[in-house]
Amino acid sequence: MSQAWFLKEIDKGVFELGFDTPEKKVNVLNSETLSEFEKILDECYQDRSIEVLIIRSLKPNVFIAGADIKEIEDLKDPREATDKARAGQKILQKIHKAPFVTLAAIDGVALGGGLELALACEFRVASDSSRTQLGLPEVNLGIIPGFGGTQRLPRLIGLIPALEIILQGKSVDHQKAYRLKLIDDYFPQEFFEEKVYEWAGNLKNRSFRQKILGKRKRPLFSRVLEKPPLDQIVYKKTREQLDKKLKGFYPAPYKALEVIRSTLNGSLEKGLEIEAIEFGKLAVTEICKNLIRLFYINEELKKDPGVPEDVPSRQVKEMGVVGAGVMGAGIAQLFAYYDKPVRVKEIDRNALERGLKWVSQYLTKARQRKRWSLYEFHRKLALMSYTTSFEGWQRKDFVVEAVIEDFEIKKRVYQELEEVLGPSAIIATNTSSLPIQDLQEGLKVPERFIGMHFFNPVPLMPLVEVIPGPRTSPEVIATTVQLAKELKKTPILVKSVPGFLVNRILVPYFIEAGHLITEGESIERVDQVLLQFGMPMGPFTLLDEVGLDVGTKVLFVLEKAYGERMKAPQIYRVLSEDRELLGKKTGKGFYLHEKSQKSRQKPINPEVLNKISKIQRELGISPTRFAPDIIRDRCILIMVNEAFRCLEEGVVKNERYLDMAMIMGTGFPAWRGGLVQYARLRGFSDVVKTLRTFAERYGERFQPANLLVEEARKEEMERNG
Amino acid sequence: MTRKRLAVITGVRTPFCKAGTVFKDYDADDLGAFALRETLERSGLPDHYIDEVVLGCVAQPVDKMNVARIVALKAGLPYSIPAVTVHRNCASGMESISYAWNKMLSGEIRIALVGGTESMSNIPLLFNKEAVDFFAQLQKAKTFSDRLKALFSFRPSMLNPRIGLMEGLTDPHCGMIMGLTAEVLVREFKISRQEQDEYALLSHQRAVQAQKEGKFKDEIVPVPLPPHYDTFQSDDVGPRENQSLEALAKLKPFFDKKNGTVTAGNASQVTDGACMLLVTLESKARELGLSPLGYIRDSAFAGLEPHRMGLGPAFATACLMQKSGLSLSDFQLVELNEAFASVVLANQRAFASRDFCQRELGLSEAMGELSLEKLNVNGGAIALGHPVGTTGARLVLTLLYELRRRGLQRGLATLCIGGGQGAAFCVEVE
Repeated sequence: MSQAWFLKEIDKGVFELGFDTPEKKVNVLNSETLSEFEKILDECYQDRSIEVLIIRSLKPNVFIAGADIKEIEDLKDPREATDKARAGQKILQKIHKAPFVTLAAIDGVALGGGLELALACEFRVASDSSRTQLGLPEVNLGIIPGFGGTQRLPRLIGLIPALEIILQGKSVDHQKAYRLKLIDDYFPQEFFEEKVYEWAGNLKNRSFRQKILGKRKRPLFSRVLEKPPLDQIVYKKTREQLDKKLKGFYPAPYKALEVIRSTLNGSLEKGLEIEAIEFGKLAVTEICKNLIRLFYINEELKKDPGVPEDVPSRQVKEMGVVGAGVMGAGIAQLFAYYDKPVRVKEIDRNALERGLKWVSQYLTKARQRKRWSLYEFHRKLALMSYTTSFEGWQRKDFVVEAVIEDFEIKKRVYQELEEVLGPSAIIATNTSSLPIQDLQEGLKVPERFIGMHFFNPVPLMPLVEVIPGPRTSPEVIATTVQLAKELKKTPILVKSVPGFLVNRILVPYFIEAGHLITEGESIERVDQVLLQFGMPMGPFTLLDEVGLDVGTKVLFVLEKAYGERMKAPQIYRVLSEDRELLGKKTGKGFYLHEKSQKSRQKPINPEVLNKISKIQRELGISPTRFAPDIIRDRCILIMVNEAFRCLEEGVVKNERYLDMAMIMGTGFPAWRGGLVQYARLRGFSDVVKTLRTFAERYGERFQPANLLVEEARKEEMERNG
Repeated sequence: MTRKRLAVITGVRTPFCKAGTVFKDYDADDLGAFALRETLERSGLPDHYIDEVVLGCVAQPVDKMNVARIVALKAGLPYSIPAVTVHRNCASGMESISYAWNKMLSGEIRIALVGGTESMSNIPLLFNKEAVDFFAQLQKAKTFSDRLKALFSFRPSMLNPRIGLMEGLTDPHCGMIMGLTAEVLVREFKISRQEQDEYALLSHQRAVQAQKEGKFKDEIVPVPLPPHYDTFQSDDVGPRENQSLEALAKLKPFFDKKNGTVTAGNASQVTDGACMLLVTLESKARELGLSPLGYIRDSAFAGLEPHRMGLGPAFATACLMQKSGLSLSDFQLVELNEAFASVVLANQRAFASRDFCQRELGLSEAMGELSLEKLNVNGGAIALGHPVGTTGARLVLTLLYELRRRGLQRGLATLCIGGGQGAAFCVEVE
């Protein structure tokens, strides 16, 4: 193997140990680079001339990106995993105990194991580059820091900030790191090397070291907070926050909290051992593997241009949005958020003003979140303009149509647009249910037309389905994918089938929930079971949130497209016809949403129950209750089945993208790895068996998809060797 | 020599809102950016066609010097487009047009965004001289006793702010605030309080009528309304439908409290607002196949005694006529800025007076009647307000729209300028 670490004398007594992982774009800590590091450290121990050792990266914009995820992914046995952590800890302890002064010089990302290595050094400095990010993102992969991060970080910067960094897996920039005393100094990136060498030279001087160490002393209240009895309040509060955010589903942050709680006031050695043991347990869990898989899928998606590499994408700046409903307004403000001037068109000023309400709501929230100054906030507002005509739209590069789901109206909009737009301007539709190929038909320049389906609420939902029609040009696809990425969304290319990917899979879930309550199951219990499964909300709570009129509309479209297997239960039809029962916006839907009602559990709306009873009487159904497993399987496996139909038809490139789409588009629990992954881990044969039983008991819609049956057969064969 | 005409491709303004009211959270750059963005969008021209942004602003925000540049950036124009702020007091908005036009005639630029922006809500209060000295002393003090000594020199009078708005409207040369120069005209032309109030009432009535008929709809871009930004401010707030002569008569004189006749009611309102125009030479407009809103045929600025600045329109119009060979009857509509009712009335008399025109303007005959049928037909600054840096551009815009509405060809936009100047623009539709 080629060399990764390079020792060089800089000045008398000052040495630099440079890291350059061979054949990789970034530096990673794997078995090979770590053992080489250990060997070279051992040599340094022998070299009496070393007074100060600088550890830095020889690659631009990265210090060390972390441990090699591949190696974590391969861990099968908790003892093996613990040993792995122990081995790393041992090497970092060698830095910690070195007979010379150690300095980590960070220019670029220092994440996970990379930051842990820096923490083992006596001193840390960083560059002020925007690429300089320090963090411990381990919990995002379902593990905890295993090379001493849970030990050294709270001891260095204090309990509360350390919990923030470790439990949220977020990184900090040079300024915050300096404020937290995570780094001792920072320098302009352009002069980084000179400054580091100068600083390292000073480190030879004992009084300089003392001065720097003296600066790290934290205020009394911060120190008191991590000693009993006050620390218990911190842990309790933190746990409550975790519960609120994670609902107990993701074990890693809880484990990290527990490790810190039980070790912070003990010895470092003991703490390291506990960390290694807990790391080992987590690293072999299904959840960890699922999250690592999603990490890889995400990386894959980031790099995927959606078209062959040689197709160029175009930079678009001048945006137009037609339609200022919740989606149109949401998309428009997203453009302004990312500094793209946008013109919003509606039929009249009243409609524009309704759109403005969404815009102001979303941007006001963003202003609070991002702490925009008034200047910055007004700047975003001033990038947006509103109109009732297409006058001047020839300057637009990219127009999103988000008018109501009416074929004729949409076609008319395109016709008007094509009259004014320049020849290369792109028209994207945010339709959720109309076939792209039909909308594309008859356009003057059909090549410019594409589907770009955002999810509600636009600022929060990371998924964008990109749906080319049969005549969409590759350049337009590339540009749309590129644009979605610029908007910090995850674009996934899907085929134009009714409901596209996410709605097509999600609709059966709502339908099944509707069947369940029609057959006698209670609304709260269906919601409760699916919440426990890990869905962000139960189906009925969600329908109330988005509004029954909106929520059921796509239901009926898919019913028409897919026929029997997506036949909507009577109850949805009854409710969607009642203008009073639209959910939160009218004050009542499946639940009663009274303003004064503060408690979590909202009461069921008795009117809905009456309507259900009436349907039951009409259809001659005698109400039954179901076991929670049955409720779960009926709602989830019906989605799995539809997912396999989509894979069969090639609606999406592969199962990995499908899993990511469902997580980002519906909030399907990430820790379960996605819909297909859930089925795989549960066993395809079991899924097929259950579906067949359901098909007999509840209806043909459960008849398993061919591809799923095929997967189950393969699974059986593998099992039987 | 005739000038090549300047084509006004399109233009728009924000609603005009009384200072200290609904737009007080917007600074001049915000208002300017809303108007600029809309003008650019309506024009349909891509960014790179714009060679320069030229804006007038009288009281530039102290934290946004060269506010034109800030407006341009805030509205999303690329960094590569330069911007300059021009200043000719109340005619700054007109100066921006003239400035850009001349740059075009000299070949420096081809297409420009011009106009004006003003947030009179945000003109700051200033520390007085004593307070400034006090702070300077305090800063200089090194020892504890020096500091103590400095502290003891504090006097409560140091807390009396200088009001930037008032001082800005005061001409240092003659030492008069603008309202007092209006009183000068009142005396010179023997204008009664009654006449001024009647004219003020007419301005409100005409503006209210114009609003009702939706005449300002095309020239105004609705702006999200602070502090919630969830509704649009679409109309000017100045015009008062229930304005009565009695109410006007009750107001006390504001400037000359003893013998004066100029009140808050018969003077223009202190207002926030911005106005933008996209301009280029007629030839360039034709080359690009644009259909301009109208043209500027000629322009003139003139100077006179600072304390009679209200007569600026008479002086500038005389100059314009001599240059262009046009006479007052060639102008079918006139916008004469209603800085004060007395300014309008004084100019009416001056225009019609053979004696005045001969003695003061060097003309052989009187310029003619400024009849109310063609003068400020949709009201003016008394009702709509006078955001000083913006008004010049607003007069041109409003005039162009009205000429088009009436199917007329030529109009005069003229205003008086603090410091003793006048501006007059000849505006044409075809």
